[in-house]
Amino acid sequence: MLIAPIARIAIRSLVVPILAVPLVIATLAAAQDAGAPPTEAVSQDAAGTSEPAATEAAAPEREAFEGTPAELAATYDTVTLRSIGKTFGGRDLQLLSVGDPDATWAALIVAGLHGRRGADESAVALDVAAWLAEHSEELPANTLFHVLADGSPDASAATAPSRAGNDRSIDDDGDGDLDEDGADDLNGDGEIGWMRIPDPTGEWAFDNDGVPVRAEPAKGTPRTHRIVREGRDDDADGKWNEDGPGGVDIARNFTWSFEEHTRAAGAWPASESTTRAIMDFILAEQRIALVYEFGAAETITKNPGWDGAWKKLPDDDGDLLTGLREMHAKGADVKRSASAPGNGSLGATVWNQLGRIWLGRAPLGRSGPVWPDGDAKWPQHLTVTWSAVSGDGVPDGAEVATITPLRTDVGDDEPDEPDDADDADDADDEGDEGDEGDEEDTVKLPPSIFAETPSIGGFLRDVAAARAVVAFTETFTAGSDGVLRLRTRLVNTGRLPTHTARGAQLRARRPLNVRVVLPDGATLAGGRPLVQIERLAPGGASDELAWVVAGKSGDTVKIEVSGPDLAPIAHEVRIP
Amino acid sequence: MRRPIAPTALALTWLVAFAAGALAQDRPATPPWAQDPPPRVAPRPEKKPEVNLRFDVYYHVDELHAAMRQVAAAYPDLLEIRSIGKSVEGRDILMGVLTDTSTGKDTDKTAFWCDGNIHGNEVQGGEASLYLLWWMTENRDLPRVRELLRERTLYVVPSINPDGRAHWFDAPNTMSSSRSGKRPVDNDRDGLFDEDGPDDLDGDGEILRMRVRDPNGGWKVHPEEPRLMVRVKPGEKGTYRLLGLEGIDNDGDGRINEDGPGGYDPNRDWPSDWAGPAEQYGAGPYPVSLPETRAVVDFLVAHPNIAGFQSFHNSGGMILRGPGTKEFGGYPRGDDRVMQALAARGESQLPFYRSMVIWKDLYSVHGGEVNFAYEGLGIFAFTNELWSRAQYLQGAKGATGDASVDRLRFDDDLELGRRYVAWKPLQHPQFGAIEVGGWTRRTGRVAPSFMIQEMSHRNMAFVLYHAAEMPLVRAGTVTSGDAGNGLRFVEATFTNEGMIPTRTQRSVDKEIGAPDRATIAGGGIEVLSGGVVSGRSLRVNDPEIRRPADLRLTGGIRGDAEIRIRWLVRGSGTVTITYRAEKGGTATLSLEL
Repeated sequence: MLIAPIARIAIRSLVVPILAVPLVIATLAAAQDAGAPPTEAVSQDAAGTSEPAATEAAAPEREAFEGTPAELAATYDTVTLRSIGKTFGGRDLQLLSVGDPDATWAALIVAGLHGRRGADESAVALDVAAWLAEHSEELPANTLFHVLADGSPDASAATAPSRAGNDRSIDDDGDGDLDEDGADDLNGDGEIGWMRIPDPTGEWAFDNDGVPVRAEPAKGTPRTHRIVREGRDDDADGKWNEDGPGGVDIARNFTWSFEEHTRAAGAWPASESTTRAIMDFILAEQRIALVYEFGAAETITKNPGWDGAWKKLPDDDGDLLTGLREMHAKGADVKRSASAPGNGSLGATVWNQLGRIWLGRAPLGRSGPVWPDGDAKWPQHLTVTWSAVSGDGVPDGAEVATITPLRTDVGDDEPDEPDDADDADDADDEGDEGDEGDEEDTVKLPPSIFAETPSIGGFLRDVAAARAVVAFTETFTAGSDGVLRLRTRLVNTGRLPTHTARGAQLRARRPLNVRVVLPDGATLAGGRPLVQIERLAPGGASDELAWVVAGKSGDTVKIEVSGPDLAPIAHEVRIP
Repeated sequence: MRRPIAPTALALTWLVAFAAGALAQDRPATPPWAQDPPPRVAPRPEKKPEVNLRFDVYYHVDELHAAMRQVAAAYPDLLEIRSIGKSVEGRDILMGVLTDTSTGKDTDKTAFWCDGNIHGNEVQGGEASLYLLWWMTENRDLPRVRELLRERTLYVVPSINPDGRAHWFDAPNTMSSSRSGKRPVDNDRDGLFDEDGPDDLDGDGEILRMRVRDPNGGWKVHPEEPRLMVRVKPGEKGTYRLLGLEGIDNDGDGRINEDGPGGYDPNRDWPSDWAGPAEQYGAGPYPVSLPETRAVVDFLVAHPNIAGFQSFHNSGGMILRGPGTKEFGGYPRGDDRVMQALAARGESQLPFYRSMVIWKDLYSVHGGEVNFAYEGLGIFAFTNELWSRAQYLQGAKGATGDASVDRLRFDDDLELGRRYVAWKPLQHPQFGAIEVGGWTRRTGRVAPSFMIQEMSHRNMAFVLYHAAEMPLVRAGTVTSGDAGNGLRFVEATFTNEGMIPTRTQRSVDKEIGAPDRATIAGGGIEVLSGGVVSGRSLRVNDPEIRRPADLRLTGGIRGDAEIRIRWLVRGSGTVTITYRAEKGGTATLSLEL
């Protein structure tokens, strides 16, 4: 229920590649077929850069939420806010909960575990929480959505730009000193930027505009520089910024395939109070059936391929993932690279130890590594100039980058209209070449990070509706004179399994516990008093149950079923 | 060999001497039998202890802690009692900090860690640890004890699972319970915690075994010893069916004793090579999930001066070292050789004990305590499984070689039958007429009470030997020489007097802990370069020029070895050279240039 809308901004619509239009129409149609509300969608150009699609006509304008968790909780009476623990630095892990607090089924949305990317991820997660709150009347009954928008508040609060970890000091360079060589603001602009150092063994070269390109000596681009964060060699060990403040990367501190003796991953699995708080929360909340994470991993586009910590799941779980991807695609159609959860990640741990479903979504604009990590290319919409710096510990010839957007309208709150409606038509005519139109007007701007909120919110709503539901069926009773013979089947009528196949293998969660409750004086002459069923697959899978009870004619025998995320059910039968 | 002098020759010599003496003196001779007896070498009986502790009993955890405090009260300059944390049930985890405080703080000395009783039922580690504290303080004047206490610290925690220990004494138990601590676990995953543990049906304070007559059972009475049961061979017909341990179906789920108190393994809760509960029974949701483990881990991490590690378990007579799993791979050869040497000495100190590798000779353990000590912290570590059943009859005449029969014979002949309970009939609510009987908890895994002291002393001796071999950096020599062009060499040597290196190879390989540091300082000098003088060439092959006055020596000093460091300096005045090893202490040299 909306109390008072605050802290909102308008979502920006950006340059529209015509290629996207048919896909968008198809996607929207599919979504509407399923009863989901129209959503905004994004598509992608041939180079793999995400672009927002033309959605204004199909989807209602929606304002993104950009406030704090407390502001969100104050805005909606279906939202509560609490702390589930403290970080190493003493900050609260703020958990928003949207929906029925007494629900028997819940999902957990997590973001920002890795500090370096955390801001965008957290913003999207908060916006998804807002979307769920806005649509609380559409949410299935008896469901609850927990949102941990900032999974590493220490890292979020840090000012160092490359800070991925929490407040714990670690000896990154193994020299026995802690945090003694962090980045430095050499040019006094209040920012820690990038610094290039002349180095004939470096990995970088530069074009005439000073834009960095990967050196390829074999192809005529010789190595000229290396690029490091702006800083001096504070500890005179010949290295720059190799041991800055903090910290353990929470995104690598979970238990599954933990990287021992990797400082940034932590001293041991779940060494950090943040990690433990999240794991304890999931363990205590047996009703959490699904974890949806905004982070580096992207498993919704497609399966990134089983490897490493992304250990091959049983076939049934693979099929489940495929089904969930199809369900998700009804909300948006975004092409991007798949990326598996890594060692010590929440995702790998949720699947392989906690026995729940986990899905990873790399938010828009974050589907690839941040430059200059990995193979990332220089973002097209940015220009760079280099200024010389000097001083103690600053390497000879060092220069610091000043990076500015080519387009000055980036950051405007008002929606960007296409410069000329005819451009769109022209692009349409050009088919696949559309995204290579007028260079002056088609500089690739990153899409709004909030563009996918409705599709994600819609997916979460839909997956909650698809949860496992068990019922008795084909019940047969017989007997006479105080003897009851009972046979029945317990069936899962939901579209999701009661347990993941991996979880059932691991016995990671409580099974379906089927108990026979006898009236006073009755005895169980046949069958088990407690039957434990590890898993019922979706789509009508069932288990047969049978008992013989001796007791007083007319008394009632009760069969009770409970499961970790099921609404409990009971079936009563009279003794003949 | 010198030939012994015959008694008759001795007597003759004495007579001659006596006669000569008598003749030489004017005064009347005093017969030898009337003279004062020659001064005797003073007998040196074991001195009466200041603190009278018995080591023929097992101590309840409250008594154990009281005894520790009693020793500390008698020797406040040697022993301090600290609580390093609380257990699940709120009991203190008490540590004895044993060192001669007149020679420095505990943290300024290389330290040894010793604990016991991680499994609640493995109680004798508590007595062995308490004995160590008591014996070392009572024998403080022995030169080797004095030296150890002056230069080393021993951190001794007799029970790192005080809840499990208390439960072992306070509640009915089997020989193998209560292994875990007291955090409730839903072992049978029915949503209830600890709701169906064993039950003392006959009220004798023990959890024994249940049997029922069954002409088709898989067991029969032992042919030579009717009190014992043996499994029937294929083709044989049994007379009994064993029904497990004494208990009833408390929660009405058709099973017995499937969810008792606790129900986890505290020795699967340690961070190195950890695996989750699906991969091995007893692990928690993540390592260091128990408050007891956390207390120990926090202390170990905060005390990088710890360089030796011992954990007392029971039983089997083993001196165990890692790795805990085959998949982990082997330990670096240099480290393993030192550990083997330490364990080999232990085998001579501890008859009936064998040096073993955990995964290879016992079973696989992920997340074990001693594995963490070595693999995570780079500290040589052993688990001793105190007490071997081979020690019952010790190969004496009459031993049958049948372990069960020999144990019963031991109980009959040496314990006068106090540990075995004869089968007796009982009416069971689910099974009807049954019998209960068998061994009580104080047999099999724990040493008989009259053998506790020897067990404790021998294991203590192994600890003291290991502790004495921890690294100890001593200052050697310092010299200087003309290097030409107004420059001078300063060369210093430091030795490690322990068998254990200042940095284990594991520490070096995995960058565990801080590297050793060698610093040179002096107001009047400029340090131009520095480095370690290499082997035969006697050259500094890898000079440090960026920060030569503060050398980081990642390799440390090997065991029983010397390091030679040379600096090139300009200037004059007093020069101070310091070598700091996290686990080997600090040594300083000075020189006037």
